[in-house]
Parts: sequence; structure tokens; C-alpha cells
Amino acid sequence: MIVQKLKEEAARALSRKDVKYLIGYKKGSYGFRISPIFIEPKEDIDKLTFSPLCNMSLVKYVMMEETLPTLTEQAMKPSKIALVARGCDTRALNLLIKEKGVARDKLYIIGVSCTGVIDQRKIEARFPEVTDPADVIEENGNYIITCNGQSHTIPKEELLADLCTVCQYPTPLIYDKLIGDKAASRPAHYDEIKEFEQLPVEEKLAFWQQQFSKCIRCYACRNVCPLCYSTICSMDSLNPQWVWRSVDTSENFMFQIIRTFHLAGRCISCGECERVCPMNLPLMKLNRKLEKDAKELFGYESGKDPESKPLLTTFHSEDPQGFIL
Amino acid sequence: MDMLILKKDAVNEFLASLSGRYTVWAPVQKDSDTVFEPFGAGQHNVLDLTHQAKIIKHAIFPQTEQLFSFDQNDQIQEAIPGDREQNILFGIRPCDARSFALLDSVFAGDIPDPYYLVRRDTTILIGVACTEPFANCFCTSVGGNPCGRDGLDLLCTDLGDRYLVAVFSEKGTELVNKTASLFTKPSAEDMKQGQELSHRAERAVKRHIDLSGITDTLARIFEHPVWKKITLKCIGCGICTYTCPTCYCFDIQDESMAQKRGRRVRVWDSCMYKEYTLHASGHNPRPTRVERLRNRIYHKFKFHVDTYGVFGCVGCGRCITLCPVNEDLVENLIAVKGAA
Amino acid sequence: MLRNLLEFSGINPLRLRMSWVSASEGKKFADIITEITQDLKSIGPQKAYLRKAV
Repeated sequence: MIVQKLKEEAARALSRKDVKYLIGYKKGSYGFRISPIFIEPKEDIDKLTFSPLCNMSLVKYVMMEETLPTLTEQAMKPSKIALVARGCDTRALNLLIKEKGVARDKLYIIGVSCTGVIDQRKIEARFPEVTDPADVIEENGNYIITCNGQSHTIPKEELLADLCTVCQYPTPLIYDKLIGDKAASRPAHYDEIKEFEQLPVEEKLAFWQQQFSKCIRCYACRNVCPLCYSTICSMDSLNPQWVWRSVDTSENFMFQIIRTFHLAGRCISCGECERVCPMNLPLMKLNRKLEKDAKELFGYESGKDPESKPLLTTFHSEDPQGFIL
Repeated sequence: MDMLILKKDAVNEFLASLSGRYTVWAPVQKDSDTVFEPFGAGQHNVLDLTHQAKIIKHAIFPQTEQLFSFDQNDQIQEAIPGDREQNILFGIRPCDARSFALLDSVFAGDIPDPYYLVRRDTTILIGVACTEPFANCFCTSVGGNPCGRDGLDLLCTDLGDRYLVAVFSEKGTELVNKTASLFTKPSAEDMKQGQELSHRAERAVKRHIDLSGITDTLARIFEHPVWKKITLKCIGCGICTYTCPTCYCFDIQDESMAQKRGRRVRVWDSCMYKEYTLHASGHNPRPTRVERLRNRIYHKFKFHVDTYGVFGCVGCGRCITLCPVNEDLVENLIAVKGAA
Repeated sequence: MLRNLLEFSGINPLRLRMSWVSASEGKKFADIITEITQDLKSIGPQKAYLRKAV
């Protein structure tokens, strides 16, 4: 049982002298939600869980350790954060380590081999307005859902998050301990991107103009992204102000394109941006387009290991140059 | 208070006939989402009264509002919306209507805000009673009611194939008179059913918390360690503030085109962003999420009470439903109460 | 990649061009600008994502 093993590893991690706290998942406060939990040593690990409902990434918290301006003795100790990480999470960690966003020795990674997570919108559409906490387990290609005192068996593909269907690395790529069986990595698929690429330019424009007109610039996509960790984001810059704060298709377009391009060769398709967007924008379409280009033009996959150099910091003479006049 | 019956079949006709003279906003299905936007008579919008529209305040308090424009000759043109067409907000829930009543106190305060007030005065609110509250509704805990009338001109209670319509105001009466042919008188049965549904609705609200004394509690526990505990998982994304119907913080920015003309705009801002309280000196009195989320709770459950006498929250539950990391306001308030 | 992304978002790829031209390659610069100008004239003014006039 994954949860049992996870608790054992968590207990071991928290008993280490160098682990400050552990970030994992626990049951959410209502319905099908899952919540992060921060457990300090000597605290109860009983609430720790892992299920197909664990559809959020915990990597963001690694980058969000806020240190107040005054450095204390405590802050200078090389204490570790223990973290429960799924396959996609470890890709993000690899990239963060390589970009020197976080030091490897600051992390104690408990990798969990993930078999896919449930799309929150899909399950809440299927079982609307459930307040009492519900449970989901995976069994024989189905999800067994217990909510409101009843049990339902639903085929996995009806609730699985779309990104999980094209997941390349279900097994963590970097970890201190691994829970679950190692699954082989899968080849990349970009069918939905290829389909969209075939459309004439006018149709693409019409699609995106409609989508970008919905954006309310709440910046949740940027704030939730584990790889957006600049201390000062270009979008918040006032001097110079690159993009106006007013909401307009043109400003929204600039924000989204700039953000996508800042993730060029970096995005690891955790899908958090699309998951959290309150206006339901298809943000992963843009990110996966660049992921496909990185693969096809440069044979590059981000976050495969902590050693591979970031794409846009390297140049090889074989890099395609057909676009240069 | 007049009571009338409007058949559900006649709702589209009702909205369509008004669309000529009014801008009608309604919750519609769009891209498998429910959004609150102008309901064009000619477009094939599918009315959606079963799901919670994510954002409704933009109908009166837009995300971007031009305050005035200016040019190189120092000419300033104020952009207060004058001679505005009347707006109708249809299908909002009583909590949403109550949120406008709350915003009214803020914007009609010592320095009345003409931009908000012009829009508010030219808007008629038609509510749909919340006979089936959503998963995270807790309106009854903050002084609201799923069938309440605060802020509403008309309230429609779903009786099955027809609505029992209660008319509360002159604006509402005017509207009904303009479409009189679509309305009939309710029977005694209808009235009884309406009442029963109201009582049931109140009992159907799923989340509760006793907030008596919370303002006093908050006055005492500003430095309590409970704040660190409950705010740890917040990532400062800002979704709660953007979707909250009672959040009204804004930023004011100047924009200029080609240095010849420019305009000053007001845009939504969020206290959950680090930049919100960043001083020009570089100092930030709310440097981490702990201080920022704590401030949000204080604003809604203490500062707003101190200034306006009511909670700055209508219990719509959007912040709970839409928070990506399950920061649960009700859960947090329970923890805060426990810290007293 | 930027060109691909812009095309993906509905902007004609002919609008973003890149070339290496040194300060001493005057003729090359002129040729490239002529080529680009001709291409742009054939596809007309940009209509996508225009900033609203203030």
C-alpha cells in the first residue's frame, strides 16, 4: 500500500537531524479536494495520504520559502525540506536544481510513482457540489469513488487529467527514496498540438483572441507555476512597464506570450497553470507547443536530469537555422 | 411586496424583450464554464442557473475602468459613465446581491465614487433564490440567507416549471410593468411552496460556523502562532480576491499611447500579491504570505466590521472552491476561534 | 521558437524575421529590408492583438 510505505518513509525523513519539515498531501477540507500538509518533526504524520486526487504540485513551496530580511542562525543552517514528489514534480525539481533555484542538498525527495491524477473539473462535473470529504482509489483501470455514503466505479479514462494521458515520466527521475514500482518512460505525444498547427493562421488568431479576451490577469498561472520564481517578475515592473495592467486582448496576449516564452525549453507540463485558471484558459496548449518545438528542433526535454543544461543557454552548430535570412 | 408567477418557458422571452432596452447580464455556459456576461438576444447563449458563476462584480465594478484621458495640451476628459443604458443583472444569487449592497457602503462613503455609483444606480438586480446551495456556501453564518432580499429588486424562487417572483423595489415594479404580459398571479399553493422552499434552503446550507465574538477574538490574537499554521499552504495566487464579490482593492495606473494621449485607469489589485504593500523604499510591511492572508481575514472579519458594522464577506464560498491549494476560509476561521 | 509560438497564436510568421548583418554589410541590410517590406506589403497591416487607442 503506497500510503503505508509513504508514512514509513515520512517518519524516517522527519527523524533525520537535517530535515526541517515535510511537505506532503492530506485530505482536503471538503469533497474531492486534496490539501498540502506541512509536518514538522515530532508532529503526527497520520494525515499524510496519496491518492488519484493528488492533482496539485508541491514543488512551488520549495521556491516559496520566504526568509525575512534579517538572517538568523536558523536560516543559515543547511536544513532540508522533505517533499513528496510525483514524476512531473521531479522534472521541475531537476530544472530548479540545474538553474540553481534550489540546492540539491536542501531537498530530501520522497518520490512516488504516479499512475495519473484526476482532473478536478471532470470529477466535480460528474459529482457536483459534494461537501462531505470523499475518497478515491484506483483499481484495475477504474476509479472507485466513495462520496455521500455511496460507492461508484468509473473507468479511469473518464476522469483522468488530460495531461496524464501524455505523461512521459510517471516515475520520479530524482529522489532520495522511491515508493511504488518503477514504470518505463513513455514517448512524447503532441497530437492535439499538431492538429491545431494545421489550422489556417486566421482561425488560430480567432481562437486565441477569444481566449485571451477572457483573461482577467489575476496572474494565478504565473504565481502557481513552480518554475516562475523570479523575485521581480517582468510583468510587475513599473519602470519600464512592459505590459499595461489594464485588461485588454492585446495586453493579455503580451502577458501570456511572454510567460510562455519565459518557459520555452523549461516547462515540464505539470499543468498547474491550466488547473488553477479561474477563466478556464487552455494555457497548456501554448506551453506544449513550445515543449514540442524543443523536442523536434533541438531534441531537448526539460528536467530529465539535474545535469542537462537549460535549452536556451546552449548553442550547437547543428541547431536549426532555417529561419535566419 | 408584490408576488407574481413567471413561467420558466417565458424566461428567455423575458430577457430577450428587455435586451433591446437594457444590457442584460446573465450566467451563461461558455467553454464548459459558467461566466457572467452580457446576454445578447441574438447570440446562442445557454443560460446556466445551476452553477456558480465565477465572477460577478465586474458587472458593476469592472476589472479595468478608465477614469479620465489626457493629452499634450493638458486637456483632461473625465470618463464617468454618464447617460448609461440601464443594466439588468439576472440570475444572481442572494449572496451576490448582498455583496453589491456591501460594496455600496464602501463606494458611497465619505468620498462617493462616481464611477461605481453611476453603474450601480443604473443597474437592476434580479436574483434567483438559492434553493440548492453550493458545496461551500456559508451565507447563513455571516448574516446572509439563501433566499435573502438584500440588494435585490426582484427575487425568483424556482417552483419547478415556474418562478415565484417577489418584487421589492420601484425599479423592479417598473420592469415587471414593461413585460406585464409574461406574469400571472400566484396561487395559494404557489405561495406555500415558495415558503417551504425558503425554509428548506436555509437548512440546506452545508457549511456553518458560529462567528459571534470573532471580531473581539481577532482584536486579541494578531501575533498568535495560529496564523503561520493556517497560511503556510497559501501560494499568493490572488484567485480568492479576484473572484470574491466583496473584494474591491484596486490599483491606479497611467497609460499613454505614443506620448500624445494617455489615460488613467483603475484595475483590480490583490492584497495577496507581494507588491501590494511594497513601499518605494523597498520595505514591505507584509513581507510574507502569513501577513497577507492574515490581513485578508482581518479585513473581512474585523476592519470591515469596525468601519461598516457588518462582515465584509457574504459566504458565497468561491474562495474555498477556487483556491488551488485548499485554503479553506471556514476551516481557517474555526482554527482562529480555537486560538482565542 | 519565438516565431513558431507567434505563428501558433495567429500572427503571420512573415512578420518576425531574423538575420545577422554586420555594420559593414550595407548592401545585405538593404536587400533584407527590401525583401521584408515586400513581404509585409503583400500581407497588409497587422490586425491581431492591437492595443485599443487611448
